[in-house]
Formats: sequence, C-alpha cells, structure tokens
Amino acid sequence: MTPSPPARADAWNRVGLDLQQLIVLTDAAAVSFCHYRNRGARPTAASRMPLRRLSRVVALANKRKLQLQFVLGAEPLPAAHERQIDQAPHVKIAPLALARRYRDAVIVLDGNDLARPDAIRQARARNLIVRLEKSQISHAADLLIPYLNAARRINVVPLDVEQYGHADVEEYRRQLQALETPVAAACAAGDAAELNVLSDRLSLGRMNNCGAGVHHLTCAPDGQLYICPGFCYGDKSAAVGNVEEGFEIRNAQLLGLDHAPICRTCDAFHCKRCVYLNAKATRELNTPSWQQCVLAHHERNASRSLRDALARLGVDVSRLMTPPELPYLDPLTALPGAAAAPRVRAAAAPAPPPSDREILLKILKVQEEILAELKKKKGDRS
Amino acid sequence: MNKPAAPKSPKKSVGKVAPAERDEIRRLHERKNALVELLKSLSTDEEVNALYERLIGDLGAVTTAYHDWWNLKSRKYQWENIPGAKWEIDFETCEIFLVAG
Amino acid sequence: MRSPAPNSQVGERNTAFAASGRRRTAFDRSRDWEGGKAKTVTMILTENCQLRCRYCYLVGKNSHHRMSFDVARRTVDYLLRERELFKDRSLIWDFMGGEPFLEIDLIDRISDYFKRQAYETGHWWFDSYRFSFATNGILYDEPRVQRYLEKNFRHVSVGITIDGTPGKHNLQRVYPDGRGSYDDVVRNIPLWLRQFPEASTKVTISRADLPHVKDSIVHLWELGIKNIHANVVFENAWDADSDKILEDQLLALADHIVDYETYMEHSCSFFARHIGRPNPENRNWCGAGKMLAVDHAGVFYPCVRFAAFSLQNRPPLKIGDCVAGIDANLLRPFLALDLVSQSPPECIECDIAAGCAWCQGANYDFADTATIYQRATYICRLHKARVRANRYFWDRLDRKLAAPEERQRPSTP
Repeated sequence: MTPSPPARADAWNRVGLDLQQLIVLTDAAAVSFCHYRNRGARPTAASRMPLRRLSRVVALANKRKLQLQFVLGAEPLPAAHERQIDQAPHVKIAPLALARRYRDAVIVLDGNDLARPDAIRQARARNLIVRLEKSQISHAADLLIPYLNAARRINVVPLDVEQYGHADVEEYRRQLQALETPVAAACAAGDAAELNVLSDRLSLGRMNNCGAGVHHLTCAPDGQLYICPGFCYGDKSAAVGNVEEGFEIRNAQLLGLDHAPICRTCDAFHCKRCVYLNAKATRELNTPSWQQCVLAHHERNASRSLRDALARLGVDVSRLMTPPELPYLDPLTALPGAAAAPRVRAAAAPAPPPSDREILLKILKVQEEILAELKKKKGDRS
Repeated sequence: MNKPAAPKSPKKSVGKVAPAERDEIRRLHERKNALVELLKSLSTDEEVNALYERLIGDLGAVTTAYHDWWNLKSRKYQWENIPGAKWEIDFETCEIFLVAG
Repeated sequence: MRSPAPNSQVGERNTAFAASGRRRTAFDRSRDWEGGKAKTVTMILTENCQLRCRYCYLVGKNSHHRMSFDVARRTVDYLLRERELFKDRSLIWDFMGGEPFLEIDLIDRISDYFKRQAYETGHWWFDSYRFSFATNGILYDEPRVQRYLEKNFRHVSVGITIDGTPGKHNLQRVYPDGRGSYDDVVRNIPLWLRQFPEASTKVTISRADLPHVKDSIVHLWELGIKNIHANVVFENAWDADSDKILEDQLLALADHIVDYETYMEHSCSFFARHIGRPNPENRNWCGAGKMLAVDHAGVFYPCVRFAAFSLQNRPPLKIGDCVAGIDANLLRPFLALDLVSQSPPECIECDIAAGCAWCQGANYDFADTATIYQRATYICRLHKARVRANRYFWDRLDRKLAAPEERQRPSTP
C-alpha cells in the first residue's frame, strides 16, 4: 500500500474542511459499532489509550470545537479516564455489558444480545445500535419488534453485506416488509422508536451519510488518526496522521458526494455511504457495492410503503418525504453508459389470488370447451 | 426501352435502404461469413457428422435469404442495373452502389 | 469486407458525400466496427516477443508465461455462458502479447473453439464477432499465420505496428541486441495492405519520437497505410518544450496534408473536428471495465493496462478469473467512472477539453492513492498543442474545400 502521507499540523485549519466530530477508541478492544469487526481480546491496561494521550485528545477536541464520541470496551474505564472524559461534552458508545454503568451511552447490541431478557430493560428510551449477522437476517423482524416500543432509536447495521447473495438481499427485503406493519402501528400509537432502515428516509430531503473523513475522524488508542474506525484494524498505512502532528487525507475529494458518480444522483438519502464497506468491496472509497445499493433501495422502497401504511392508519404524513417510485434497485444501472452492470431487478409484486368468481368462470369455460368438443365428436359419429 | 447508360465511374450511388433493412442484410452477411468460416474449421472427420449437416443446412438457408433480400429490395426500390454489374451496400450510410463488372 | 455473389454484392464501403455537398474526406469517415460498441476481450497469450521495444509497458519479457488452451477454453465458455452479464451485441477477440503471432497455433485453436461453441450454443455472437491482432509484423508472412488469416478472412483485423521512418521506428522498436526491426517489418507491409487495404496502424509517441512525428506519418502514408492512429503516452515522459515540438510537427503535417491534397484518402487521428471544444457531456471515454483482459493464467483485468507487467508503481488490479468469473463489485468503479469524478477542477472547466484522453490504468499507476479516480494529466500541454494545430488544420482544409475549383471536382467514391 502507499505509505502514509506526511501529517500536516495545519490540516485542522484547512479551508473547506468541515470536521465536526472526533471518534475516540478508548481501547484496542473497543466495541465494534458499525460494519467493521474488531475481534480483539478483552481490554487491558496495555490495550487502553494512555491517560496522557486521552488528555491531549480531549484538549484537541476542545480547541477545535469537535464533538467527542468515546467508544468503550467491555470493561468500565478507570476513574481517571472517566474524569478526563467528563471534562468535555461527549457521547459514549458502549456494549450492552456497560449499559447499566453508563446510562447515557448509546448501546451496541449484537443479534444474540437482542434475545436477552435484560437487553430490553436496558434499551428503554435509549439509542441502540443493532449489528445483525447475515444468518440472523431471516428473523430480523422478530428480533427487532420487541424493541420498537422500548428504545428511542434503533440503528440496524447488517454485517458482511458484501457477502450477500441475491437470496440474502431478497430475505432482507422480506424482513423490511415484515416490519412495516408493527412500525406503523407503533407510530400510530405515538411511542415508536426511530428505525433507521425504515423511518430515516421519510424525514430526509437530501443526503445524510456517515461523513467519515469529512465530518469526523477516528483516533485509535495509539494516537493514530483514521478516516473511520474500520480502517484502524487493517493495514496501518491507512492512517492519515496522528493527534500530535496533524493529518493529511490524500484524494480527500473521493469522500465527498461530487466525486461519487453512483451516489451523486441517488435519492437513498438515508444510506450511510459507508466508505469502509466501499473500500472493502470495490477497492474505491467512492464506489459502493451492488449489495449496499440494492439494500438501500429496498429500504427506501420500504419507507414508501411505511408512509402509505401510516396514512392508512390516519397518521398525518403531510410532513413526511415521499420517495418516488423507481424502475431500478441499483442506481449504477441508471447511469449513462452503464449497460454492462449486472442488473438486479425489483422483485415483482405477487399477483393477487384469483377471486371465487374468476375460478368459477375458468371451470365453466373449460367445461364449455369440453362440452363443445364432446358434441362435435358425437356429431361426427352420427 | 433504352438501356441505362453504364456508370461513368466504377461505382455509382443508385439508392438507399432503411436502417432496419440495412440491419437485415448486415446480419445475413455476417451469418453467412460465420458459417462459411466455421465450415473451414471442421476437420475432414467431422464432415459426416450431425454438426456438419446442420451447418450445411443453415448455410443454404442463409444464402437463400441473402439473395432474396437483394431481389426483394431491388424490386421495391427499382435500383438501376446493367448486365455484369453488381450492387454493393455501404453499411455506414445505407447507400446502394452499382459496381461495374 | 466484401462478399462476392452473383448480381449482388455486400461490402463495407466508407466513402460518400457529406450532406452539405462538400466532399467527404478520409477524416470524416467512421472506422470503428459496430460503432465502437462491441465487447472487447483482450487475450494476453504470451509475454514473449522477438523485440524489446523501449517504450513497451511489458517489461520482463519471457517465454514461460504462455496461455494454455485450457485457460482459453474456460474463458470462452464463461463468456458464452454468462449471457446476462455480457449482453453486448458483438464481440471482438483481441489477441496480443508480447507478440501474438508467436502463438498462432493456440490462436487457431481458440478461434475454432469459439466459433463452434458460439454456433452450437446458439449465441448471438456467432453472427457478430471479430478476431483482432496487434502485431509487430515480423511473422506476418509466415505460412501458418497466412493460413489462419485465409481461414478467418472475413472476421480478422490485423494492425501491424510500424512507427514511421526507419530512423524513428528503429529508435524504439529494437531486437534484444539493439538492432532496429524496420526492415523485417516493412517487407510485410505490401502483403498486409493487399489483404487489408483499409488497414490502419497505431503510432505511439513519447519524448524521443516528437521530432519525427510529421515525417513518420507521411512515410507511413507513402507506404500505403492510409489511416494512422497516433497517440502520446500518458506517462510523465515530457519536457518543458515537448508541447512546442509537437505543435510544430503537427503544423508541418497540416501543411503537407492540405498542400499535397492527401486528405481524400489518408487520415491521422491527431486531426479530428471535435478536438478542442468543451466536453459535451460527463462521460467516460476509456473502455477499461467495459472491455476485459485475460492473462496467461486466466486472471481477469479491466484492461491490459492493469496487469502486473503494465504497471510501474502499483500491484495488478484483478477483477476475477476464468474459474470464478468476474467479481461484479470490483468492476463497479470502472463502470461508474466519469469525467467529473476523476478530474481536477481545471479539467472539468476546460474550454478545449474535447479529445483530451485519459487512461484509467495510468490514473491508477500514478495516483497518490490506489485509485482510478485521480486523473493522470501529464498530457495536458500536449493536448493544448494538438488543439492549436487542429484549429490551423481545419481552417486551412475548410478554406481549400470551399474553393470554387474544389467544388467542381467529380466525386470519387
């Protein structure tokens, strides 16, 4: 890989830079809260961010007016670390095991966590991140429904998306469909959680993406800076700098919408446009995999259906966005000159079952034809 | 009836076909060439087998269709003709040229 | 191509009169088969070659990297099988190397296999395919090569690379011992042109070739090669005065074309009417990703320029192989790339951008990161020189063609 570029201390001041947040991995074993996987061991003193560095990070964030997001491991932070963190406004992202200790934290649940009795209690009125394995998608609706009336917001993160085949994608669509009615009912009752994959699109009039490398950077325990946490666990040359010396993001324009030809004209505004997944699946930061695109379009289509369901229940939908109908699921196929792209067709809506009258007419018609044939044969014989 | 004068140049534009008609003859032309050259690829052992028979049959059918196209279009458009000359089509422009023999 | 038949003849003629009444010149004719929309599959049969051309991107030539028939067969089968993925109406098999004619027996076998399989499976490509060759020309008259050409005559297209004058050609296209190859190539040109009268050649120009551009192109025309595709290399191979030298050469060439009236029968791709206008649309003009390159081991690339031997700075960029097929996700960046997503602002806003080419392989090789989305712009000044020369040429040519004595000339189909 290309060696890391020389860090630039003045990078924080660059004109046009719109950094708003700094994600801080407090431990090498910090919980994975997005599409990437951290298979690290339990936190130890050696894996934790040293206090001195944590102090520098907090000072830097305060100086640069960056919102801090601290990502925790499975163990509580030492008291000194907690005192340091509390010196700045921040959000904590923590695993379920720390939900009771850090009551204001965003809680990360794996699919297996969802079925635990204490999980729903801890989820009450909180923001959740739910990471679902591919094997769990087939019952995703069943796993999520109990949380619709408990949590404040649920961010569903399907894992290993780049390994989805067409059957997996179709199952995902079915699970979204299965969620529409309970979500609509919860909304109508006035106590529904936001569900990113269904409701976000209805409140968005333009792209609202992750913003990795544009609106936020990630600081690893060793002080290295990355575009997003996912890159911390791969080749170290992915680092773009460090908290001491600054950073330089080469070809930073590829993180923006203007230089993403598939995304530029797409209206799946809720899509995260995950650059980690992009790099993993297509090797380009600005190019999503077909799975990401098709899943996002199934989600936006499900959002349309949800809006219709809400309207049928008498909910005022006048302020909700209406994603228009589209003839495709993969926006690449809508680009000029993209004829070679493998096409993924929207699954046809199942034909309604024939009515009783239609069935009867068919029987009569067949009978009439049989009768006519029999008459003809009888006539021929005579 | 006076015979049309021989073209003063070796090739003379005598008409034009529609793009869809051009596509028809181009396809027949390509298929005929492809069948001929596939035949050349067969070994002598294969000359008695089913593939060979099918190939010969297809080639005959395509050749007939090919000549039918020229006959049909020449009657439709009443292209100028003289003994010994041939018609030629420009695939790019759909023009028909009369080529002196 | 012509097919003689009683009382009817079909041929691909390419002269006619422009609608305006002005005579169409050789510069007006379109030569891309199927309008350039056919699927091109480049088969890199061998890394062996008799020559060691100094500008060749295939460094490390060898005789052991050769494609086996099994690899070729798997590739053919894959392409014919995946009809949903490969919907192009036409197919071009582009055999190259190294020197492809070193593997003429393999080529013959692959061609026969494809023809038969396409026919037996009822594939539409049977009705629309070509075999294309880029050769150094040294083996052109070899009996096995000639037998192959005769056998597939109506489907082959052969380009012999001859760089121009003996001096220019022998500057770059040399044997391992440094001898120039001009004589061994030029002796086959008459046979080639008899068999392919409308054949063209590709002239690649780097820094050392610049002073010879005009004489080389004129020399090729005098050899009988009517259509010259010339391009400058995309690498950072240029000096501060390279654009000036190129412009002077093109101006001299323009004068030659108009003064000696070679424009009816001869063309050179340096001069085209669309050169130097703003870009009409945000598209990708590079075929990487739409074409497919296959190396000797059956590995797939979006273009030969992404194979290991073509790259100076980066690892090869593979998108699949003949066993597993193409990874659709690895292909997406190539299918999505357009002008805006890869170009710096000055290219997007350039008023004379039309005709300024890019190469995604060069992008990838020379970018700051491993991306195809950072355009390599080393040819910028040379493009501007070309634009200036184009304006001069078309102005002179249009004035000439508008002259009263020119209008009265009989048509020459």
